[in-house]
Amino acid sequence: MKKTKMSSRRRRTLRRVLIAAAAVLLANRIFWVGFLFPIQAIRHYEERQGTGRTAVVRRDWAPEIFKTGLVYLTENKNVTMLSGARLTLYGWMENFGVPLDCTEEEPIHGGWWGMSRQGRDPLFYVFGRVDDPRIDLLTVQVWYEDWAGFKAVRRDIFSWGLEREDLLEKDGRSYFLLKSRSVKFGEYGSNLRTTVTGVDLAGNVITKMELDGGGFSSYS
Amino acid sequence: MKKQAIEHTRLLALSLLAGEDMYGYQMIVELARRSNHTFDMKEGTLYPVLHGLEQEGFVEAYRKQAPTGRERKYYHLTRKGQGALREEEAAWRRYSGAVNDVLRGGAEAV
Amino acid sequence: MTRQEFLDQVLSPLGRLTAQERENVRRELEEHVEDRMEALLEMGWDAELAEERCLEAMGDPAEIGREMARQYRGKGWLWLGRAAVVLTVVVCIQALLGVGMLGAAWDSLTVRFNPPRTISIGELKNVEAEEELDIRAEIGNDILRIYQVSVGEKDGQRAAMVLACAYDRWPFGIVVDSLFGRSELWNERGETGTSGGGSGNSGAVCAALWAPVETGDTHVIWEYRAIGEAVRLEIPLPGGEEAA
Repeated sequence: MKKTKMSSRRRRTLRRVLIAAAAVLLANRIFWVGFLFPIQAIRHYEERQGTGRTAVVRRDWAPEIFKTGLVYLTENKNVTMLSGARLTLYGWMENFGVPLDCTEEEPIHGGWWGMSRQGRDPLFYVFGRVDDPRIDLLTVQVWYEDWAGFKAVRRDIFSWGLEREDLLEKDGRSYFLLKSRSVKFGEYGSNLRTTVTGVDLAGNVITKMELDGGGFSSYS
Repeated sequence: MKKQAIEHTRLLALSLLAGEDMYGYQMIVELARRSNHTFDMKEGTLYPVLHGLEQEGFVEAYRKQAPTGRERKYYHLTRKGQGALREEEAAWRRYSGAVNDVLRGGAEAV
Repeated sequence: MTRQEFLDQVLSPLGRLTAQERENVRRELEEHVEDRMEALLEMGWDAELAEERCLEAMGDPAEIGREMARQYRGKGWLWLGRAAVVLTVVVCIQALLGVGMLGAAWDSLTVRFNPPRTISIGELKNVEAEEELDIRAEIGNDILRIYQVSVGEKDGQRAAMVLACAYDRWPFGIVVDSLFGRSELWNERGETGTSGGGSGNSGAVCAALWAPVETGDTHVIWEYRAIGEAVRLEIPLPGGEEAA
């Protein structure tokens, strides 16, 4: 009684889909490659940085540098992180990441990151967390020190003004994410400065600080 | 009219397979036998019906050696197909019952 | 009409079927005709007339073909299956290109049973005592494990050297990118060593740190700086009760 089964489209497709799912799972978990979703790349970066699980505050599409480039602002109680991912031959992979340790008490935590690629306008992000409830207005300034003479001259490049209602709320905390295409950071090197000022409605300066956590990435 | 013939054929095919697994030609012969040759359909038209049932998952197919000694494509009613058979049977009973009611009603009115 | 012409007419509207599916249809119909032919021939029919009668009994080939094509029109099962195959192939190629990751996966497993005993940062000379331990701490998703301490001489000074590793809670999981960069070894007087070393991959990271110790010291402290907390593990020195 020889019996050879014949398969319908439905059965064939089900088998193929199961095999595909198993292959993706295996590749993702053992080889850590072939991520189908960008958030997986961010989670991978989280693990490498030891930040613990973070929640997404904002996802920004940044096609200026990479057509599939995404920038994520994520957070948890201890960390505010800016990270980026893009689609490569290996699936979604992380581009860069700036984890900010926010465990110490500060009125504002912040950082910045610049991305550049040959022949394109560079992107500059400033991000952070506003902890002091007294702050109603935020001013973020990007400038550089011009040492052409003997003294450093401050030259402003770009600035933003934010009101409290412009802030991004997540888990009871307030965040901000700013992006500029006008900061050609490659020209200034380590003379680039980012400062943030927080004032209340009456105009009293609550805090004025320089953000020193940041860096650049250049892609070819 | 043609669509109805196909619908009929689905019900007939499903109910034939409820008894045992069969191949196409066998089903035609059995159909003629059981209905005393009332159903005289074009034999080739059974196959689209069977393939449709197969693609929908109501029947499964496999190749096996038939009593004639040659290998044939057999069809088997799946659990899903059993459900479909019950539904089609119920629908048929409602339909034929309604027709009977109309006929009876018409006869009484005279 | 010949049998071949009949079958060709049935198959003609079946362009959307795969070659295998078309062949199945052809075969099935041909076998049906065979069976019907046999029945007629047994009854004494003439071969040519029998074939004619069979094909006539089958019905209109064009209609059969059209009806058949309709059955295969389903909601895109075929393309879903093909997409799945493409995805599988792509993922396999990616895995092949990333085969270096297997090393990390392997390390993630083996470090749990067999952490590396030699991390060269300049060995300790005149080793007085060496002890294996198992001091663990859970830091987020990862496990930090101190597994060996030795006392000897380093750069002319009496020193203790501690070996530690870290790995994800789950086998094949991802661990922090560096143990060495986040750790320091202190002695009882708050001094640390000035060098150490570490290595690893996404499956497991290891580090060796040393700190100067004096006779009578009972322990050293491994400090790991995690985000939001500092984990301090006390490591007893072997033979600590010995007097000079």
